[in-house]
Amino acid sequence: MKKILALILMLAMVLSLAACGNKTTDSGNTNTDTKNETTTTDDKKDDASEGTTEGTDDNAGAATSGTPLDTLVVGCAEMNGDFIGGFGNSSYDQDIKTILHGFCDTVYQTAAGSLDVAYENVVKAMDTVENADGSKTYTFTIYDDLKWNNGDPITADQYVGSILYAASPEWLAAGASSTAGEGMVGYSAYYAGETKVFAGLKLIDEYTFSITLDSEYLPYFYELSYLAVGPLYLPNYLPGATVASDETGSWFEGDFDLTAATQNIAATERFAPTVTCGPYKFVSFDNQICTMELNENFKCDYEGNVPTLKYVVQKAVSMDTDVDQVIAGELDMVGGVIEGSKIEAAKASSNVNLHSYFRSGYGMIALVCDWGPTADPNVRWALASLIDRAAVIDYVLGGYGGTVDAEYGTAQWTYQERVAELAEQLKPITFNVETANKYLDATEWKFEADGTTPFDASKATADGSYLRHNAAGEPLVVEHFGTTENTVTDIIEIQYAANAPLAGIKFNITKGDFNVLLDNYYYSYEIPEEERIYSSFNLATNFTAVDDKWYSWGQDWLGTWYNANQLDDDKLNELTLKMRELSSDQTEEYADLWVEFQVRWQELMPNIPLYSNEYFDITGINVDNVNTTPYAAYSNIICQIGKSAK
Amino acid sequence: MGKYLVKRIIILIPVIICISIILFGISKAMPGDPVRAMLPTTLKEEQYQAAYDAMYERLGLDKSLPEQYVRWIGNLFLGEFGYSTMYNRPVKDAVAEPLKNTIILNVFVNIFYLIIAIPLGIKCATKRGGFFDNFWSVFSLVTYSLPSFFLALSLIYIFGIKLGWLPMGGMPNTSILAGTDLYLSWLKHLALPVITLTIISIAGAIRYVKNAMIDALSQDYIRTARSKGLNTKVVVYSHAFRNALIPVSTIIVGTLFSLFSGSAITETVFTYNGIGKLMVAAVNQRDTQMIITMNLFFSIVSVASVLVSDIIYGLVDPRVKLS
Repeated sequence: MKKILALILMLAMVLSLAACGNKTTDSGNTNTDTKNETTTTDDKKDDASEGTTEGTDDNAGAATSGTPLDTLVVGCAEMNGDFIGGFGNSSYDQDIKTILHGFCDTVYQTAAGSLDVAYENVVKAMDTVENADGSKTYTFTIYDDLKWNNGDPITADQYVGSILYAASPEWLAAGASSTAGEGMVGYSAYYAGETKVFAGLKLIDEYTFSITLDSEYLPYFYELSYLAVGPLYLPNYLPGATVASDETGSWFEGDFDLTAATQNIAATERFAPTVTCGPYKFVSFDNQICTMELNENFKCDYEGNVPTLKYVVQKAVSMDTDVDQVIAGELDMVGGVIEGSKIEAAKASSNVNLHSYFRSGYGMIALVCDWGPTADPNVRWALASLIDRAAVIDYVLGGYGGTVDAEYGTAQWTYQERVAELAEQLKPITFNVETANKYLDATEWKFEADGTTPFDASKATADGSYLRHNAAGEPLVVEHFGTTENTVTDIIEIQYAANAPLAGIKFNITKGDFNVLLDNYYYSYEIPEEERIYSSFNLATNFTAVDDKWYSWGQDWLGTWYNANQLDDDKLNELTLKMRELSSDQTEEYADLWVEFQVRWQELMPNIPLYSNEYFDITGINVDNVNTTPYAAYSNIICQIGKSAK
Repeated sequence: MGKYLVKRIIILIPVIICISIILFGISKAMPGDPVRAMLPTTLKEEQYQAAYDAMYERLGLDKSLPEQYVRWIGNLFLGEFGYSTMYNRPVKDAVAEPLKNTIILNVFVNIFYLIIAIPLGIKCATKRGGFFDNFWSVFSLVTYSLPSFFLALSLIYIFGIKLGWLPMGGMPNTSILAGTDLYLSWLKHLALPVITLTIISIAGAIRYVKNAMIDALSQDYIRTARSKGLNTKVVVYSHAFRNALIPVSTIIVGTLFSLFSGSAITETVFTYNGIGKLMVAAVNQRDTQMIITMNLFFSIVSVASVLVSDIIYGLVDPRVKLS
C-alpha cells in the first residue's frame, strides 16, 4: 500500500512540475534576429516570392512520424462541413473544396499570385474574338480525356451548365451564393430570373463552348477572372436536364425541377459530395475529420503533376498543440503558423521541416474617413505616428513578421517589380510623438480646453489630463473598437494608452465581438450619425490574385460596405479606375499606376498598416515538396506533395 | 405517487416556458447580425443584398419577435430545433454526432468514477483520521480545486508530448480504421479526456460518499450490530453502506443525466468533438439557434434530473413520503 501511495504522490508531483515547466527554447534571441531580417524590404521580397525551407539537425527525441506513408494528415481549426462551391466562407472548408473539385477550371490562380489559362490540363485551345459591339467572345476547347471520379467524361455542356446553375435565382434561393457568370452578356437578366436563356454562353460541340464578355465590363485588367469556369455533374445536380444552345444563348431543357434540385443539393451533396473531378474523392466527414481518397480518374493538376498519396485527411486539432502533434508524428502538416513559441519549438525539432512565406496582406488599424476626428487625414497620420510598429510585431508575432507602408502585400508581383520605387516614394511611418503633434497642429484640434489658447505639446503628460480641443471646446477623442481575446487589440490598447495622451488625444478602446465590429465598420453607413461611436478598428486584410482596388476605394462604393472606410478621394478613385480599365497585357502601365495609387493612398492613410505576418507551414520530415505560397495553400499543390521514408 | 408525479410535471411546464422566454430574449439581445457573419465577402453588392435577403427570410428573421418565438416553440414540438448558422444545417443534425461522442466519453468517466470513488469514500470513512483518509482528503481538495484545463494540459504534456504514448487530442478516423484498430484508436483518444474528467469528478464524490458513510457509521443500529459481534465487513457493507447509499443514490441519478452534458473545457482542450466543445464554438460564432436550443435542452435535462432524484429518494428511503 505504501508503494502505491508513494507512486501516486510522485505522479501528482510530476504533473505539477510538468504543468509549471517552460519549454526550453529561447524565443527572445530569435525574435530579435527575425525582426532585423524582416525590416529589410529586399529580404521580404525574397522570402515572399520563393519561400524558404528549413530543416533542423539538432534536438529532441520525440517520436518519428506515425502516419502511414500513403496518407497525408493535415491539422486545421474547426471546419464547417460545406464541401461544394456556393456555401460557407471557411478557409479550411475551402481546402477540401479545392482537393475535391479543383484543377478542372479553365482559369486558375498561380502560386505566384497571377491568373493563367489552364492549358496544361483543361484547355486545349482558347480563341478570342473582339465583336463589333465591344464585347469579346472566348471559345474554349477542352481536352477529351478529362473524367469525373465515377469514370464519366467531362464535357463542354457541363461547363456551360455550371454557370447556368450557379447564376440561377433558384441556387440563390437555396441559400447559396455565387459570382459565376458575372461580366458575361446577359448575366443581369438571367441572375434576376427575367429569362431562362443565358445570352453570353454557347455550347458549340461536345468539347467546345464559348463565353462572351459584356462590353460594359471591358477592358478589364483582370479579365481572365470572368472566364474561370469549372464543370458541374448535371445528372447529380439537375437530374433530367440537358444543356441546349443556339445563337440566342444557352439554357437548361428537359424534365427537371431546378428549385427542388438546388434545395436537394443544398441539403445533401453540399455536405458529402459524390461525383467530383478533383485529385481526391470524398470518403467521409465525421467528428471534424475529413477523409479523401485518391481519384484514379484524375488527369493532372495545372502544372501536369499527378497525385501520389492514397489518402488525404484533414482534421480539426487544438491550436495549442498542433505543432507538437506534427513533431510527435500525429500529424503530417499544419499550415499558417504565426506564433513565435510554436515556430521556435518546430525549429528545435529534428522531426519537422519549416516552410515560410510572407502574408499577401497586412494587419491594420482601419480609420473611418467620413465622420469623427479621423475624417481628417492629419489625425490619421498622427495616430500612425503614435504607434511603435516594431513593438507590435514583437508582441503579436513573436518577431516573425514585418510590416508594409501602404495598401499592399510583399508577395504581390507589383510590389516585387516596383519595390525600389516604393521605397523612394513612400514616407516611412515611424513612431514619433513630435511628428504626431505637428500633424495635429494642422487640424482643428489645436487648442486647449478654452478653445482659444494654442495647445502646448510640452505640457502633455501620459496621464491624459491635458488634451487637445477644437474651437468649440470639444476634446480630441478617438473611440476604437477591437475584438476580444486578440493580442493586436491588447497591444493597441497598451501603445495608445501610453502614447496618445502625449499628443493630447484621448484614445478610448472598447473590446467586443467580431459581429459588432462588422456592424460598426463595414456597415457604419447604416447607423444614424448621432448614434455612431467608433472611428477606429483593428482587423486584417488579404489580397488575392484579383486585387481590384476600385472595389475597396472607389467612389462608386461610398455608402456601401465595399468602401468600408468611406474614403472619398477623386485622385485615388481615378487611379483605381485607370488601373482596372487597362487590358490584361498592360502590366507595366498597371505597375506604374499601382505605385501612384500606393503613394496617394499613403497620403490619405485610411488604414494604419501594423504588421504583415510571416507564415510557417510545418511538416513532418517524411513530407516532400511542400512549396506553399500566400496564393497556394497545401490544397493547391496537393498533387506535388509526397511522402517518403526517412 | 402518481398524483405527486403529475403535480410535479405540471409545475415544471411554466418553469420551462419561462426558461425558453429568457433564452429567446437573450439570443435576440445578442449584438451583431448573424446573417452577415454567414455570407462570403466576395459577393458584389447586388449579389450580396439578394443573398442577404434570401438568408434573412430563410432564418425567419423577417417576422416579429413574438411570431419568431411562437414559430420557434412550435418547431421544437415538431422536432425542428432551428438552423445552425455555424454549420449551415439544422441544429439537430449538427448536434447528433457530438452528443453521441459526449455520451461515450461520459459512460467511461462515470463508470470509472463510481468504481473508484465509492470504495475510496467507504475506506476513508472506516479509516477516518488515518493516513489513508488524510491522503485522499488532500487529494480531493487538490483535484477539486484544480482547473480542468491545467490537468488536461499536464496530461497532454506528459503522455502526448514527452512520452508519446497517447494522442494529444482529436478523434479516431472511422473511415480509414476498422475492427481492432478502430477500437484501439477510440481507447487511445478517450484515455486522456477520461482520466482528466475522472480525476476532477472523483474528488467531490469521495467526500460525499465518505460523509454519508460517517453519518451511517455513527448511527445506533451500527453500534448494535458491532455489539452483536458481527464481522466489520458485514457491519460496513451490509448495514452502513446500504443506508449510506440513500443520499448517494442522488449523485448516481445525477450521473446518469450528466451523460448528456459535455465538459466544455476538457473537450475543447482535447479537441474532442463533444457537446461541450460544440457549445463553446456556438457561443464564439454567435450561433444563436444552437445556443438557445442546447441551453433549453440542458435546462430540461437538469429539471428532469431533480425530479427523478426526488422520486428515487422517495423509493429508496421508506421514511420519505412523496405527497
